[in-house]
Amino acid sequence: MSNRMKLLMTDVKEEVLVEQAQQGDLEAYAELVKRYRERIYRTIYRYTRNHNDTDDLAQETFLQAFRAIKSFRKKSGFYTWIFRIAVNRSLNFVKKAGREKEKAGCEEKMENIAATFLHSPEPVSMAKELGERLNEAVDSLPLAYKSSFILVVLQGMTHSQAAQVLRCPENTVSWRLHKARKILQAKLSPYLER
Amino acid sequence: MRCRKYEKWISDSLDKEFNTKRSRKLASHLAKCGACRAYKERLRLLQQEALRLEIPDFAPRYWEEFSRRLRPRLQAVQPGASGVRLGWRNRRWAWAGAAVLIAAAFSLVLILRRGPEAEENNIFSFERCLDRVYGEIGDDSQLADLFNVALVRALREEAGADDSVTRTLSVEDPLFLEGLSEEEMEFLNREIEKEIKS
Repeated sequence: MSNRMKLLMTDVKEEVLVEQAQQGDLEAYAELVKRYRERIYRTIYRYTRNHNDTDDLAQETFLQAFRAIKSFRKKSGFYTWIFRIAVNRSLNFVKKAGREKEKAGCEEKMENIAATFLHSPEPVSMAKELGERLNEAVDSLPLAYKSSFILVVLQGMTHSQAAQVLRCPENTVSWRLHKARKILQAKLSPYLER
Repeated sequence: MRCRKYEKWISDSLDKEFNTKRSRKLASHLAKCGACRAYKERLRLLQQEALRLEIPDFAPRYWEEFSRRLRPRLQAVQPGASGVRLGWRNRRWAWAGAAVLIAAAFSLVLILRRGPEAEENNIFSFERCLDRVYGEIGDDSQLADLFNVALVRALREEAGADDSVTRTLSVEDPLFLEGLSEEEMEFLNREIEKEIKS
């Protein structure tokens, strides 16, 4: 493909690209991949926390979406649709890999760290450690809460967009976020007191 | 209880999912409630830290490589080749549907295999039953007589001794004697004895 054509492709509207991809146009689909690959990667990475698995799952997500693109009825945006595929794949991965069991171990580990911290507070290391602990705490959230937290807080979606991706009412997303935040702040309270 | 409601509102406010009316109410509550102010501050810090969480940041070369690796895999499939993959719930319904179809097909095969012979074996059809008995009797007159006797007995029991069925039998009929009442039999015996004497 010439550079001129590539430039032209970037100007094409998403709906047009989707229609062309539904007709089997690989170039149109490649442009859609280009537009969403980083965001899809970031979302999946929040679940796997591992580059190799994320890369595989992102490839599989785009492949599955291309296979099923004719079934995309445009009731939601392409962005929402492909995110749904990515989130479902990630959730399946987490379940299959038995990550839930690991999380139980993480929770215990985190409680120990928090207890240690309470006895010997070190303000300098606090901020440094918070990021790591937050990652572990997010990993330990129930999957439904975790998905809402990832999509809204980490990916910047609105409650409505997240509800479309997760196929649940908007109010459910709102409650799950509230619960997720309560759990996180309770677990990380030693690091959040200022 | 009231603070629980405001905790939920604080969470919503961080996502900017809020209307002005609620916003005013929340601000008014926060002005009075130290615990909720502290909770809001903790959530704000949490949000701030969450946004700082590290994600591998790749150079444009990685993304080009990502697309390059994906292309041959895309070329190998046709869009719509797999349609929509069945989810777990749909798959369960699909299995149930398949089981019903198999059961229906099996029943159909059984019905078709029974055919006309099966009707002959239908013991609940009186006509079929009689046809079959007469078929078995064939040319055996002794067997036919025995069957007729049994049949008439059964009919008499069903209809009573003075039933008209028994009276219609003629003297030539092998069942004539069977059709007579005891009084008639005595009368007949007397007449036969007179005949012998004479």
